[in-house]
Amino acid sequence: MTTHTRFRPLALAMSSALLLGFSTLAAAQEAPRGPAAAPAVTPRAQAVLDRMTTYLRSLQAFSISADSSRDEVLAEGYKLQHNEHSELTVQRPNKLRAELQGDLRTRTIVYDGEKLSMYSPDDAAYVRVATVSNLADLIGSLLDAGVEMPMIDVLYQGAVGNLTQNVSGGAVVGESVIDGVACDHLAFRQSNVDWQLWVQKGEQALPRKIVITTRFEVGDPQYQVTMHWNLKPKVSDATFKFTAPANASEVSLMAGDTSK
Amino acid sequence: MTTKASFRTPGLAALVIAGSLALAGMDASAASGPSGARPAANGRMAQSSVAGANRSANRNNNVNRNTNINRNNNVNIDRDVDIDVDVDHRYGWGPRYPVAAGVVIGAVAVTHAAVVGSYYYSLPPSGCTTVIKNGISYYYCGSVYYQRSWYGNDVVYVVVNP
Repeated sequence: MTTHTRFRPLALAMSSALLLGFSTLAAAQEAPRGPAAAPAVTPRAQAVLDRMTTYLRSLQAFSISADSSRDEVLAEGYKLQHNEHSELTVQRPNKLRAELQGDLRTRTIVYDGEKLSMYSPDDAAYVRVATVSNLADLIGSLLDAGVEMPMIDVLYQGAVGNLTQNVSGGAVVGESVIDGVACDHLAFRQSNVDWQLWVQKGEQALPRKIVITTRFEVGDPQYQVTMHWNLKPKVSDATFKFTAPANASEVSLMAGDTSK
Repeated sequence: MTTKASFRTPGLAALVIAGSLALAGMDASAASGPSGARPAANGRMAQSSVAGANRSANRNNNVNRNTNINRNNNVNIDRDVDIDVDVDHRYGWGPRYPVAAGVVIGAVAVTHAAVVGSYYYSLPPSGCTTVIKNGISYYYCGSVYYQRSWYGNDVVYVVVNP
């Protein structure tokens, strides 16, 4: 593919930059100054990120249909891949529904603006938590509680916007086509993970794919998710309402956790 | 500090104990398990979120809490019973798996240190009855009370003193 070939030299240059923590590249691009002042993320990559964040914030409602995979490294070094399909519907400022169907879990997560409900059909159990009143705070609470929700990075960047806070280097690697859509391919490095992000080119700067590689773990296990966007989702009152199934019983949040 | 442990299914215990890849063991346990989630394999999961990785990194930087203590006890009485007790200070981002309620694991009764507040992804293999005290239902297994609770993404059984 011509696009691929054309961007190859740049990709190689960026790979070296990633290895060097971007100091060389950044120094070459920016006005001369001390290495401590070198920007972690190249201006080009930052521009793509900003475009994405601005566009995400302009969306009042959207839904994402996503397929993800997550590696697990077993005791003897065997890398096993778990798959999951998820549907996420969001309505600003404070409504969300996620349906997860995966190898490891099946869950329904509903946030109606006042309460967060999480339901596990396999356990016939659900929990309801009175919570905060906006998505940004909700995401913070979910992260604090160790809840792993698909596309939480997308929501986080849209609501809070500092996903790159721990990044030591970031650059545009080149162009890449995801599901027939031309994207900018970004690569980031930080102390505990390396991650890649594919952002649709043009005004509709939607994130199309994310890959996260866990560093310093045997086998370099990866998580990856490909997202299909619907910018005109059909939502009703029922979309963001959790109705407990008759056979399910309510459980409480685990009490007494002191590690927070 | 949280203490977490899980009772492995015989198939997966065999997978680890044999020291070689006995994926057929997973095949067997998947077939006998409930529909839906896979049984626990207790491996190391890939990070699934950058925001989550930032949370744990910042937490470790702030509190220097990155200490993992793993203790493995293998008790073999006729059948393989594998008890892992992981004391995991990282909170929230370690491997976690649901094991559905009512799974019959088919192993001998096991006694373990029943620390109040420790939690398990399944009940002990045998000898559990449901007890209702003050309107709350508990599982009573070999002199230990468990209460079903929600932790992170999963339903867990927490050792309580009702």
